[in-house]
Amino acid sequence: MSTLEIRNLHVNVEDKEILKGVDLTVNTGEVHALMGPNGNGKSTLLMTIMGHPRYKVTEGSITFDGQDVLAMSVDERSKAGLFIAMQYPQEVPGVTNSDFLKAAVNAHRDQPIRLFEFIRLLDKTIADVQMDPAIAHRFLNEGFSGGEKKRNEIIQMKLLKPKLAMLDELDSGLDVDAIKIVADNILKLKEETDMGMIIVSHYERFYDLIQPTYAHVLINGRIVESGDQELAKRIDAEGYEWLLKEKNLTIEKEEEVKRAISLGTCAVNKSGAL
Amino acid sequence: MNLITINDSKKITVNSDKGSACRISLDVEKRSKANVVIFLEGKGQLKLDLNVRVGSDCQVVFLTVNHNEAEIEFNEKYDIYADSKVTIAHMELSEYKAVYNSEHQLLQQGAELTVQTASVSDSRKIFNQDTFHNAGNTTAHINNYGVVMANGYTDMVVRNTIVQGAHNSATHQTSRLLTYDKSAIGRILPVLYIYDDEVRASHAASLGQPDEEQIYYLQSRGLSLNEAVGLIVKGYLLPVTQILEDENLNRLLLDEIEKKVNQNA
Repeated sequence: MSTLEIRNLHVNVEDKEILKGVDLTVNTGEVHALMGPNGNGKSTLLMTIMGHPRYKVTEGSITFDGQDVLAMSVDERSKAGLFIAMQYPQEVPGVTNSDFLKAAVNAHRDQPIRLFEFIRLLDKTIADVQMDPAIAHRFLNEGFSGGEKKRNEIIQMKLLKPKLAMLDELDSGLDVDAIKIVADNILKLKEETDMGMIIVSHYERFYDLIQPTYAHVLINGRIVESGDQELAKRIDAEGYEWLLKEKNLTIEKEEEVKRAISLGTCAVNKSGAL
Repeated sequence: MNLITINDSKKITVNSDKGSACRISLDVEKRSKANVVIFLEGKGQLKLDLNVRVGSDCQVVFLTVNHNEAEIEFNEKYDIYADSKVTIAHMELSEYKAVYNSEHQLLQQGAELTVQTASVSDSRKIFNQDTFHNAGNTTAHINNYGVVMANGYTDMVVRNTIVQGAHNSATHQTSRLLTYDKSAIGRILPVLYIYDDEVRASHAASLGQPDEEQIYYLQSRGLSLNEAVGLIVKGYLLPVTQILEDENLNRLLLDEIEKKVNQNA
């Protein structure tokens, strides 16, 4: 069994503290729904676990099977079994999807995969998520629709078979049928590998399909409530107001600095008349 | 001076071990269709002067691949006559200093030139390119793509000139440099001298660092920093390998880039 343990995690982005003491434990086989209003730190938490250079940990720890995750480079975290399906997958012009996927698969193996074995594996994985086989030869995410990008994330996840997958609003940009296809693939992979998951989604429908074991609400950079799937259902039905009242919380808003803006110069009436 | 008449595809190897200076003249007979591949090899310093005359109605590709294991200076001059279509490609991936002084003369109506440069600099690379439209209805597309690695330096000075009277000519240049390290230095100087009113001309130049988000994305799938950079470099230089109509030459260029990328990874 693998375990991700986060203790008292504080994270800054550009000198602003976003996470203010997060504690979370995720074991393989468990599915954790991470909920909360926009801008309260959900994506920050996932990006920090994966090692994005813009997110600076100022206090606390993250370990995975006892190993210090914060001491690992981004690629080492991937090789350790962590995976993030990104909210906005990057476009990389000039790099074909198949070249990238082969490099990624090989990065997780001692011996490079044989070409025919890779082609067979890739063809099957693309078929599993019901995508056009030509996707393999297109440049990585370039010109992909929102839905194609998200399905491409699932292709990567299936090829890499992580121990812990973090899905950041994977369902956004997917239509109803595509959500079902993606969810089926996630569940099948979970059944095969018993991977753990942290899921960020704003839609009860996705949670209905994936069936989280735990739900957490992240507000103002802290987990303020944890529960089971019932918590996710209540938030979907009632929003966050009840929780804010119960916990006596208000959502901290970022200070807006309003500056005068210039729209350029216009003709001046020299006479001064209006 | 070696004078070589070209009427068919040819492979020329210039070996610096056999002499540090070499002068070659190529005379491409009119109505020829040919691929000319020039390999620079050896371990000594090399100064190569190449003079090329392309007769009318030709379709020719000149590809230079530098494998020389020492500094080179490559001075090349092309005279291109009526209705000839010429592609010049440079694959400059060596670890050593290289200076390219290129002059392209579009001498008669209908002459068409495409220049494609792919460069990876671990050291000092200098490209001085001059293209002259001396007649009407001539066309030039100059495309330079370079990657500057740590401690590397690349300088691209690209001048396109349309003389008075060269009506309906079109000249376009694109130069792009990617700097991969704080110690990498790149400089691009795009220049257009236009002396006629009825022409089309454009230039594009960009110089910048790779996208941090792209590298993070690739690394998050297990690729090391060098592997991620290698993939991006390969993708960046890919356009150079797709311009040649000959599939074998394109493959050769792609192999060269992959070899270089794998070395760095």
